[in-house]
Amino acid sequence: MKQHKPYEDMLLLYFYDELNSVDRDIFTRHLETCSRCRNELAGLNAMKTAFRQTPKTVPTPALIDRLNRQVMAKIQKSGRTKISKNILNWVNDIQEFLAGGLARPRYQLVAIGITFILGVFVGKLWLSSGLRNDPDMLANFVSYQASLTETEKEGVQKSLTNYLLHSGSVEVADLIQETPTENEDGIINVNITVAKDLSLRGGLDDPTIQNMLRYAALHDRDKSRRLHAVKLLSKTPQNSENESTMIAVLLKDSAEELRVKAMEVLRTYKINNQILDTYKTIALRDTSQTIRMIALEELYNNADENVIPIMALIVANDNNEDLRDLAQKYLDALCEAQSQTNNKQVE
Amino acid sequence: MEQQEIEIIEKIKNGDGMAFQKIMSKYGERVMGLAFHFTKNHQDAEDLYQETFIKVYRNIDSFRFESEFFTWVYRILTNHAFNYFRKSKRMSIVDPGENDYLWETLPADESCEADQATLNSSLREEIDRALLQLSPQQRVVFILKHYEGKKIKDIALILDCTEGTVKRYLFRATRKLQTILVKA
Repeated sequence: MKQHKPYEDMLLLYFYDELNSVDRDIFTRHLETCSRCRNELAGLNAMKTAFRQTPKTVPTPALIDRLNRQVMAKIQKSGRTKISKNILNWVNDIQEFLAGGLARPRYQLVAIGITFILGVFVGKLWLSSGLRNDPDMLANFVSYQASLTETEKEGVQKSLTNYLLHSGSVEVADLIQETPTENEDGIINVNITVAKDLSLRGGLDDPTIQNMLRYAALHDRDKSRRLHAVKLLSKTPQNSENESTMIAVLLKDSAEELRVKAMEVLRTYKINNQILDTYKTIALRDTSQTIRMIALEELYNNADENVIPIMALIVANDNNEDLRDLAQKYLDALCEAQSQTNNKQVE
Repeated sequence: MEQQEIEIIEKIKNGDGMAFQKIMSKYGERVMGLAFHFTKNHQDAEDLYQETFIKVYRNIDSFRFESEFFTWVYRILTNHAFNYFRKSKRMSIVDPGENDYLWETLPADESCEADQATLNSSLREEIDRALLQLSPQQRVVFILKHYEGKKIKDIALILDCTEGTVKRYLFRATRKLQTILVKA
């Protein structure tokens, strides 16, 4: 049986006419004496005949002609300048390297490795960025990406421009006609500047106003406007969007004043796992002693099984003496409560 | 490589659109035929065709005449095919689509009887179904070998892998297809 094994691969190479002359002679001699290989070869030849007998589907010249015209039109549309051609090439190359290149047989293991390393890296970034605590923002981002095609985006842009044109608030900043050809005039780029400010009016119960406030709280460059937005939002009821905004401000904003305000707002909210997780992160890493102390207090008041290790970590390692003392106080109380519960269970 | 083809490629590198049209006319039918073998779907084959030639045009500067030009085109086509397989893991058997009239079905043997033609047509469906049961790599290798008659070393060049890898995929594909078709 073992002696026959090499002939099995030779059989397929013989069938595909890929054997060198020496191996072909060896296999031909083997074939004369081996009925098993003869039967297998007959089966393979039957398959080859079946393939030959099937009708062939071929494109008509009209189809090739139409496709070639479409290809030329796309090339002319996208590759007008050397710069844009280069950028497109880079994007394509990266895309192909990531998607296609790594799918090639040789690179499959490499692809798995890279995917794993990237996964760990992105995962670390994800956890440390606090985005984990802001799932709505991510969901919005993903759904935005998934829901609008390039054509739709272009449509939205054009509709908005038409609306602004009617309100007389648009200035043409630049007008570029891309290289015209004999048959076409070339695409025209119109760069516009929106010269007039838009204003929105509405009460705190208006969802658009609330959206703008959340946006301002997170992204406005002016600190006082961010603070004002947080204060206004504090007057609206607790909901998942407000929670996510406050958490994001608390985790990301560089101004202590704003983080304190966001913390105050969060403390008025009904506690949940997302808020508790934020307190844990803040208790360990915020730069402000005040905020960390409030976070410790909140953790103590809403303690779950993960709070004790966090308190212990601060007691053991933190540089700040006041924080260590406070954590020690809460830790003692939590341990006491825990031992009382255990005693009750024993009784 | 023919001198004439080298000159055409040089012209494309210098931005000559007419020269590129000549290349598309020369290789269009073969690229389309192969794209259809990969996808078994007219619309997807058209997309694959366009993506391949657009990529050929955009990357023509990177073609250094180190291989046959068509081997290079095949490489681009198979890379796009792998992307296609990755995107559409569930593929349907021949979907004629709106442009069915732009495709021709040639009988295997022009003298064959009507009954035989019907039988052959159903045999093709069986083969198409069997091909879709192969892994993307096995399918690509098998198609390049069976329909294009490429040598194993050329397939290795196209797929940028070793001859041993090509043999492994080809042998597995052949054995698997044989089993499937015998059952059918």
